[in-house]
Amino acid sequence: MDCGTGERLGGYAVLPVNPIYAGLAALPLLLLLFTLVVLRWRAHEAASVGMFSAAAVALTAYGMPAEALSVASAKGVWDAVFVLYVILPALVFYHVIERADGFEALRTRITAFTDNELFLVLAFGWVFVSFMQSISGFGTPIVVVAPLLLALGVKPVYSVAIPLIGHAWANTFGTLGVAWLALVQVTEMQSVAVTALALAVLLWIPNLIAGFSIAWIYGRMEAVRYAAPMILIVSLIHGGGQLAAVTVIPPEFANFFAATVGLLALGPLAMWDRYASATDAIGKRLVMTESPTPAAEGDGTGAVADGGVATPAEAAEPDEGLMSLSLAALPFAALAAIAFVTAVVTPLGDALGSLQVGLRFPEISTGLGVVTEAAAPYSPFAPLSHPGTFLLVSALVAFVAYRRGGHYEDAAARAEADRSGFTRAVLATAIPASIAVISFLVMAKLMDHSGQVLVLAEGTASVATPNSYGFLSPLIGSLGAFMTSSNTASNILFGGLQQQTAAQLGGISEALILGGQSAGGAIGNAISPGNVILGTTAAGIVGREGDVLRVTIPWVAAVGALVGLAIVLLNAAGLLGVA
Amino acid sequence: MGVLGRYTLAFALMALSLPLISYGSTAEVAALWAVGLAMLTVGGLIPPAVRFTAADPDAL
Repeated sequence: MDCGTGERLGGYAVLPVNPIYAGLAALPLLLLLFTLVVLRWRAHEAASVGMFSAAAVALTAYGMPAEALSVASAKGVWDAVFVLYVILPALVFYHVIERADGFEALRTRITAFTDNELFLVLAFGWVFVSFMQSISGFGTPIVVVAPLLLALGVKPVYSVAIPLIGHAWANTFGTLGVAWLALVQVTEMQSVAVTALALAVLLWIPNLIAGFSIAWIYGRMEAVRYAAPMILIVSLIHGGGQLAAVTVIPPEFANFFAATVGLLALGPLAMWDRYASATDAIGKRLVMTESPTPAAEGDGTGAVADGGVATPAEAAEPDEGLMSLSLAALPFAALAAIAFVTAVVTPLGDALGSLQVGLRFPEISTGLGVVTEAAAPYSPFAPLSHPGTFLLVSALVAFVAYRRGGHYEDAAARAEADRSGFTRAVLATAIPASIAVISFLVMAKLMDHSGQVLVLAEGTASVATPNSYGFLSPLIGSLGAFMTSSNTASNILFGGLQQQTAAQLGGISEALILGGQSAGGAIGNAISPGNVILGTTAAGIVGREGDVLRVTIPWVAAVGALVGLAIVLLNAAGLLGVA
Repeated sequence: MGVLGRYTLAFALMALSLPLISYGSTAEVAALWAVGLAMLTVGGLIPPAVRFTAADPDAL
């Protein structure tokens, strides 16, 4: 984005950065949070409130003409296409597997290796979801893992919240480094290597905290103590592996390397006596749907009231008619293989990405001098190299394999009731989720093109010292991820601004500030409406987004503060390029 | 019209606003982008309206 006509400051328009304009810019976000979290409106209802309040602020206070408002809104609708083309294929992917009892088969077969619940929750909700994020972004990991946790007997709200927390650290260098490459692209780093190193150090924090947080959510301190050895080993592989990898291989592959080794480590860990079988060392099993021990019943320590339809672990005994583990895992393996091959075989990826479609938009400007250049085309969409296509191909592979094996007939025979039509089942979830995504992204685009985002960011910087700005830089990154549902978009939105602010303030490491921006953007994915909606969609609890956010918002706030604190300490210690 | 039907209408209005605004704004045909903006507005108003008017907003 190129903003500013007339008087400019560091490439941006000089906007009225004062408490009134900052307060007005914050209003859409506050109203969105209020309706979602306090009033517990469904996401597609609350998103409209955010969208219309952003439009009202843009029109009245920020001098945005109606035509500019329409162009910014339409860009938001277009941005939603990238997300919607994951939602619909993800639902098809899910129902193709679910109607053949594939998730039930996965749960049954995997628990044959170990029926240690906490191990399995961490294995899926932290390790496997990180592996998925390393090769495929756009919320796909949440869509894939939430139903798996549901099948293990995790309560629906937690089946969404746990992978949101578990995958966050893998966002920047995950998806083969898209967010990292965006950060490199929008900034002129003093040192790419030092910035990558700073980021890898900072991202280790959400990784380690995620492991302990998931254990704590599962069963408080007893679970933390029990899972601590596994968490420390896996985090050493994840965080330490990524940190080591950025120094020796291109950062784009650092997360894939670490997440893959982490996944492979699950085998030996499952054979360790400590985790090879169920344990009675944990009295409270707060995230599970059933409570086999008296201590876990009605103790009042459960977090959120839950909704949706769960799959209790005891609901189905191992059934010889279920498909094998390898067949149940086939769609996931196909998805991983397609994503990996298209990413590393450059000519293939380039060929698939060459088909692009896009729309044209004219230059627009506001009464406050924020100018956005014309785009022809704006943000072209390459459907063949998009994860949505990968999901559809994987679903087709699964459909053919399951149909040839007669698993749909077997599953229908086992079902106690008739299942609703496939298309209606998909649309009933996809349509409300799609409306919410469109409204969220229209809101984000209106705030961006009217200058509200810049006022919020510059307002923060104007009252900061080097230390306080260092502490707050992850918060700005998280804000960007919350608004755009993307670490990549957050880096594009705020990367340049954070770099300039660090330079103006002085006395703070550029590498650490950019690291804070991207680490904050990664962490913010745990509260990004797009990801939350994808998760509630996959778990069959559309409308319970507020319940999920009640779990993930405190986590993002706490981990963001820890990352901010680490930036201040590292800066004070003179590490990683302090000015 | 049921709840799913109303949501589908909202989604269709939002989606159809896109080409109208793109073409209308680049070709400087004000009526087109104005209609597109109106469609987007109506589409955005439907979900809160359903919340307060439908007997069971969850009946999808």
